[in-house]
Amino acid sequence: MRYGMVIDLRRCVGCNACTIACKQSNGTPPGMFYSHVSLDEQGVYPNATAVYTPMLCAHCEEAACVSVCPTGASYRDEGGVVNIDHSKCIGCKYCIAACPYDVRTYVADRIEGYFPEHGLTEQEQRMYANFEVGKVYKCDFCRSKGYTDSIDPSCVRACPGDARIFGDLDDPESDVAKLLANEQTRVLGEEYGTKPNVYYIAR
Amino acid sequence: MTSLSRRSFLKGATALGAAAALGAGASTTWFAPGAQAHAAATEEWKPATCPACHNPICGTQVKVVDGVAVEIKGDPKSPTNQGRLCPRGLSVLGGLYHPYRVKKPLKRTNPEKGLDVDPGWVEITWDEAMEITTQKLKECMEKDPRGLFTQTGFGNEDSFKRLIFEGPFGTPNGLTTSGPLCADHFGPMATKGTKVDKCDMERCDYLLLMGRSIGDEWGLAHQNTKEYVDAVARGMKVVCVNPRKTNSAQTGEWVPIAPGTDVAMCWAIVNVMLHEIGRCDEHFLKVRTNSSYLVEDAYETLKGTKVCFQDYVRDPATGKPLVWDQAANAAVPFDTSVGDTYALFGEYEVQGKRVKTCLQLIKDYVVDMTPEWAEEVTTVPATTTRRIAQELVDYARIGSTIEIDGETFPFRPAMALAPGRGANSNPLNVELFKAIEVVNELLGNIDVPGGSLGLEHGDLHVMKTDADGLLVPPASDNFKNQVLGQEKLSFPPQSYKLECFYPHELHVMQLVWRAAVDPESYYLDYKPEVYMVLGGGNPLRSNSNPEPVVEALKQIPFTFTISLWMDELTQFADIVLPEHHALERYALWNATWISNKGTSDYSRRLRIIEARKPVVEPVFDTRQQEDLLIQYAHALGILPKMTGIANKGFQGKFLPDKPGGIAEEFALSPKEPYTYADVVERKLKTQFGGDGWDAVSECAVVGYELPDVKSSYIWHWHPENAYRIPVYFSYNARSARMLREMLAENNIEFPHADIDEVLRQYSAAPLFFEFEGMHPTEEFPFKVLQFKTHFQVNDSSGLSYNHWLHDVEEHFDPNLKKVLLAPARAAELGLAEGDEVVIESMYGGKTSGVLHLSEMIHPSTLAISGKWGAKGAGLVDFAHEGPHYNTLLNDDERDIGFMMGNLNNSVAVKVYKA
Repeated sequence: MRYGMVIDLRRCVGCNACTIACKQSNGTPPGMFYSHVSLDEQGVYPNATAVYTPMLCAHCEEAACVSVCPTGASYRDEGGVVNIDHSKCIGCKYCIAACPYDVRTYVADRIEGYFPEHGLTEQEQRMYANFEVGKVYKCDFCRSKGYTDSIDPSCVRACPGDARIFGDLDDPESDVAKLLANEQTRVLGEEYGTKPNVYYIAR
Repeated sequence: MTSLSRRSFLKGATALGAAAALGAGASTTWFAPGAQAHAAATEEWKPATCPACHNPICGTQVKVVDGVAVEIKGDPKSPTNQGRLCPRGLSVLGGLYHPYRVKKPLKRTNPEKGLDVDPGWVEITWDEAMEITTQKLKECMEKDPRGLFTQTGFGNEDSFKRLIFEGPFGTPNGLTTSGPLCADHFGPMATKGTKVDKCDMERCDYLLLMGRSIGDEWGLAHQNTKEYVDAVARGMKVVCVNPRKTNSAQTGEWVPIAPGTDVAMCWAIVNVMLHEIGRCDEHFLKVRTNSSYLVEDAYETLKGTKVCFQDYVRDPATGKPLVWDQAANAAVPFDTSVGDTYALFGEYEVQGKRVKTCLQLIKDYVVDMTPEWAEEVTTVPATTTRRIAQELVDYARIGSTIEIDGETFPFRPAMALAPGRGANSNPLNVELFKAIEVVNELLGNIDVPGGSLGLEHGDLHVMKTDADGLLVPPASDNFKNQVLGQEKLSFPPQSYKLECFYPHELHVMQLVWRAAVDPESYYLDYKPEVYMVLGGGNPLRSNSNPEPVVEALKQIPFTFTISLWMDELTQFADIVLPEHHALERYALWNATWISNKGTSDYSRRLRIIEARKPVVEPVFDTRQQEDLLIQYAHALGILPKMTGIANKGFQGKFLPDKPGGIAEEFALSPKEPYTYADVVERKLKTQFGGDGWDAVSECAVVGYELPDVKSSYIWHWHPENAYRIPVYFSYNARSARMLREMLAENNIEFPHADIDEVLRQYSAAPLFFEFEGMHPTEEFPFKVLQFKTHFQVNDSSGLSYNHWLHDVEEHFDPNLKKVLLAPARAAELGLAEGDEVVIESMYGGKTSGVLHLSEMIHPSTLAISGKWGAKGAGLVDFAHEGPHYNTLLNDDERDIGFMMGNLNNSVAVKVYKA
């Protein structure tokens, strides 16, 4: 079992449905995103293009965050998901420094929510209960939400263009494995040697 | 992924890291409110429907834990979105517990009104609020019911569709904020009797997009985006004519164009097709259009523009339009045969006059509109226009057929798609639609596989003809007048819609405010007395220059709003009534016709009805808007009328064998007030029997599928010459003639405009003129341009107040809330990325924003995304951020589209450092 994702950039319109799906579903506090779409404009008129890059934890096989974690809090589970055992996390932030994708976030202070002048909303109170000050948080492919093999992460389910495909890379019958076999794919930051499990099909 | 540099790959992530610091080195306390209390939480996913775009059709599920809604997702069982959900729909939950909602009924204590004036709110009880508002409505009804002005909008889409109150009350002044932007229905109404044109995404091979997005810029979740990317993946060529390089422009070809000039390019395409290529779908034109109808080319010249207001040449005996039958070598009534022997071109001698076919007249009128001429206007190279015309003809496979479910259809997989708000909002609005529809008619692609389709299902859509054989839109359609105009013009105008001066439009929203402070000059003999705002209607944020609106609102004696949010309109209210959030209210929406559903074989066959129960108890002291309307109707003695309308037609037909309203056995009683929940339940019982709600207990969206693919095309239901559609727009000419007569008979002037300027926009034949603000000037060297963003479609349902969207805006999208300028132009002006700039309109309006340099816009433009810069007190702070685009637009008759009453959406501006 090796969970992974293929993001087909030909099908991405840069709408950030994945970003919001992730944010509200995981209840992340202000400024914290497990997943987002990076937008960069390249080239010169009239040949310029907007490059959308949906970003999330790449769940690397040789994860830099795991190897630098001094307490073993960051680990790779049996499904290949890079996870954090928050009971072991001491908030040293080595993992944040090591991660080439910058998709980990440290909760440095009491979470005051989106409307600090009004206190936390009822929804925020429920959702932020999952976050502890002094610890680091990140994407776990929504596995901690109790999603089973057959339930895609929130970002995948929401995508209006069906650009994100999730599944077991070790299962040759899975959609992700077939895409890897049949399409030209790339990973981000290959030069870091972390063997990411999030692949991209270029536009 | 060669296109992805290391820099861009880290760019978003870097911003994230900085933002997420959350105050490093602070205290060690951590927040876990009530964590223990939820040890044995009750948790349930409840079915719901999305309220977050205009005519929303996506099913959702909301996770409710101990009565608190904590999470939302697309419902996998929903036949429309199948689990997908767009960023707007996913944000809806953020509005439910939003601290800036209206929480209690409010009463103004400060009689002075203004955007910056504190209303001095005091909270009052619902009883007091209803007593005050009911009394005001009663006084108004007794004095003159026309004095009630109601205002709806797309601000709270969930209460946009409601029970009809205005008719029973007796006011003709039911206004919608979006009025001047609803001018985009002329073309579809004329050629399909529907509101919006769609492209057949299953079979189209070549799509020319004139200033329109097709899923890419909306990220719609209900098949639309998926079908667009599927079509591109299977090889559909997209040519995107747009001042901004949209997503679809990147997946195909971008043709940058100066804003507001599209019509010149489109008539040039017609020119090339008729004068150079000489190939068109002759059979279609002969049997399906009025191309063969004979007309006398007796033109007149108004303001230097050649216009034609002629009626067809008619048979004296029957009054029917004549055509030239080449078999008989004689003029015969249009319905003598199917039409294959009718002449498409040529001049003939009939009734002692030189006459020509309508298509010949079109050909003659576009003779000078060459690609070279259009290049001067649009900046689009003549070679590009010429090539696109040729490609349209080549890809259309004129003469080819396709078998679908055993039926043979014409197959025309190429089309031009009619525009949305941007390209069509200017004085040449109708002209652009005329040109695009003529392009499609020449290709023979209308309502056939591969081509330009409407929204409706043939089993329900009424496609009748007038005595001349021309298609007339359904009588029940609000927008039918956009193509037909008024049957007769009666002076003086009865309503602020100024119907005798603007016979084709829904209403000229921007002129309502001018008329309200100066009614006599519009020949009106009454003023607004009570202004009731519902459904998030907001003419201060939408439309044009808000200043005249402010003036009018100060003068209206009593204003009350039924509001979800404090906004610009509550700022002028005497009473504010707090409304339920979508997730707290009952809703039903029959999306049998719908302006944004997809066009694959799957979605063309599908139609849906959706109904929602409240997902949670009301968070604040709010009520359901419709229940308030029922209560008012009861108190005012108009409940029987309102009930009658609901029983007869509430939400229209869905299942073909069920009534369009509420079945007799479930009919509402007009005697006692009922609730909206009751109305919804009776409608569901009418459709599905049982207890009504059974049908939506698992999933709030219920689909109905047409039996096969062939029946999803209108051509299947109405083939060949079942009706004809115009290349020569005779209803325009009829209205021009009537307008002229009406002014003469009453010896009056057209209000605030030169009648020749008005009338030249009504020509039945092609025309072009340079309108005020069409091109930049020396003083105002840019054309300002507004573009759609994924986070703001119609500003529905409080998206500009949404904290999650705001968070994304701040971190990841450099285009949002900014002012975009081409780097070379910025350098000329000494401006740089991040500069705070002022944009000043040729009409005097000013707004400010932060500059963002972009190579993805036409260098003559200055571009602003969406609708930002909200005003008024009581809003969440970030809603004030960003430039307020509409401030730059004009609100008077100087640059109006006189037929549709639309404003000019792209004016000349200058920009300088703040």
